[in-house]
Amino acid sequence: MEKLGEGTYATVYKGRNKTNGTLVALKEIRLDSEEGTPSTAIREISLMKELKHDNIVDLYDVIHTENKLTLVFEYMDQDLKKYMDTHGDSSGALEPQVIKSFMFQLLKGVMFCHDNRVLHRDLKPQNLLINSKGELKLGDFGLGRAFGIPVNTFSHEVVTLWYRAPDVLLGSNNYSTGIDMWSCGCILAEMVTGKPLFPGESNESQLTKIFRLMGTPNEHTWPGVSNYPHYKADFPVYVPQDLGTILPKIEPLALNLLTNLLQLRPEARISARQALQHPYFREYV
Amino acid sequence: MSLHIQQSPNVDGSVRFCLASNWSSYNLTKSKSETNVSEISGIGRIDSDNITAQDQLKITRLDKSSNFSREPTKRLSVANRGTSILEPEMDNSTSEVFSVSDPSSPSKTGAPSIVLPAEFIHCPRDHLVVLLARILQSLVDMNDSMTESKEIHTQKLTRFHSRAPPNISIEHYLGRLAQYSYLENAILLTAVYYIDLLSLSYPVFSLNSLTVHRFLLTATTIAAKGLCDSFCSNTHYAKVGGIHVSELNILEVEFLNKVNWRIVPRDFNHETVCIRSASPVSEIRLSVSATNDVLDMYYYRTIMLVGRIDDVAVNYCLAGRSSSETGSLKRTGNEMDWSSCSLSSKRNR
Repeated sequence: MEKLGEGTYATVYKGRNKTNGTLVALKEIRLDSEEGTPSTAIREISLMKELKHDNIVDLYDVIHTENKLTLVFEYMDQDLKKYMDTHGDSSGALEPQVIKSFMFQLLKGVMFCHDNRVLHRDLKPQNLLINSKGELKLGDFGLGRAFGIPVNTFSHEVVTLWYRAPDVLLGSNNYSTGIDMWSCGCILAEMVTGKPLFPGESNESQLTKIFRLMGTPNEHTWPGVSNYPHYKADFPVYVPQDLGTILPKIEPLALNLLTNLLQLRPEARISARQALQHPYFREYV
Repeated sequence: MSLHIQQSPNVDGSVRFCLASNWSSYNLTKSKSETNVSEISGIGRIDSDNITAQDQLKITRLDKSSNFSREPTKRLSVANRGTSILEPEMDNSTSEVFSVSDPSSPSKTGAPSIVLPAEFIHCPRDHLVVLLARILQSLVDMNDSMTESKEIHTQKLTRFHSRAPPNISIEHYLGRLAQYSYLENAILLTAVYYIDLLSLSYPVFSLNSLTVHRFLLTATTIAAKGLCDSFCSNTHYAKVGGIHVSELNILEVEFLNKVNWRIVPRDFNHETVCIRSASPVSEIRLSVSATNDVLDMYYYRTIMLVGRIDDVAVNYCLAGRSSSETGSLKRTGNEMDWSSCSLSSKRNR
């Protein structure tokens, strides 16, 4: 029907299922004769076929024609980025109750991925889809990967820079579920203020922005940090700031959850399962 | 080496072994797939001329695979449709044991034993190639011989078929792919897992001397692209594999569709895979187990099945165990307690 978006390897259209009239999103992937089926498509399809959950966009079907592959997804009205632009206040910030609901749904979707041994690796507002019922679902698993397979190669080009965890930025080669949890923290802060928390321009400036707020790690605060490939002994030294001062509108319990999500050390970061038990979500359980 | 083969209930013609449709009993299960007329024409050959002398690989064992038939095989007689090739002598209830070689004879060669690390990621790739080539060769030999002995002149052709067996041994071909396509150990093991996955979800497929090369090329290409963060273009994989990229692209889609795109190694059993492949998209929730555990299982069991066999230059055993425990199946028989070998694979929990 209409074009919904265009990515590097796919174009998304709105469509309608003729048999039952429901709306669908059609993701058309061009097949390249050099590459065959793009790796992103193989990953996205193979992972989404395994992941059926209320907070993960449903993949209905895969249609293969000669030079393109069409993925038929459940239709969602907009992504979280656009939602904040249209529903947020003048700066894009969302209502506390909306933030809590979205955060709860985000964590449920992430927990389901992690329980099924899948890392999303690209959580950001643009990949979180919202429908008119206020449901939030994870989409775009093109960078996802099953974890637990011991391989020697780990890409560091995962997660859009602003939402990338410090261990990945430092060159970790065995990151795990913690990288998704860091992204969740960045998304929570962004819903509160309407602005990205760490809008870096390069790997280095991204780390600097993170350290300026969270403090520069050292062997004392993060044993082993100096062994990371991109660690530099001459990182500018910052002391940790109080997150509450830059997020004055945040609820105290949300602030506590955020602090647990934005731990520099990946092992110290709260898991999705633990986060869902946090008192912040008391009213949902 | 003794491999145990179970006959499974069948109704039709051609014969197929896969590795592990039921790993829990560690038998090689033979099942039977439909016999049918060819659906595919114009099946090309692996271009072994592309494989030049300088590509020769250093492999640590003597090439034992001369029995890998270089001579022309039986023709795939498409005209001879298998309507009357049911095999009445096969009793569904029996489970017989075929002894591939005398299981009681110890290795005569006195070949040196190499101890392999317990974690497959640390296994030297050349050794892993040798081991996996042995298990693949065993399956191919069995499937080839069953096809002959049952006088089945038709095989349902798949896109994976060559017109004649390519003139390169499995070991050299796998070694070539591993070296020039930079395949990690996890990818090589996943390719072996895919034999079971594809055989179960696409029963017409059988791993034999006509299909093994294209199968390996397709399986490793998909595993690298789907599971690894570093991979090459299909153009590269096709060049290394000796076929045209357009054919690899077709094989890739064929494979993905046949396994319903479920390419992450998961623990499965026969039933779930069959149900899964028959169902629209996926309403079946697989029980998810650690991918690592699944690949560990293939690693350990490959060493156990073919780590120590007759007439080879090198025997293999697993670190922390004596070679008589791991490599030899001499005293295993049917009552081998495999659980005693069980896999110190709980390291991640």
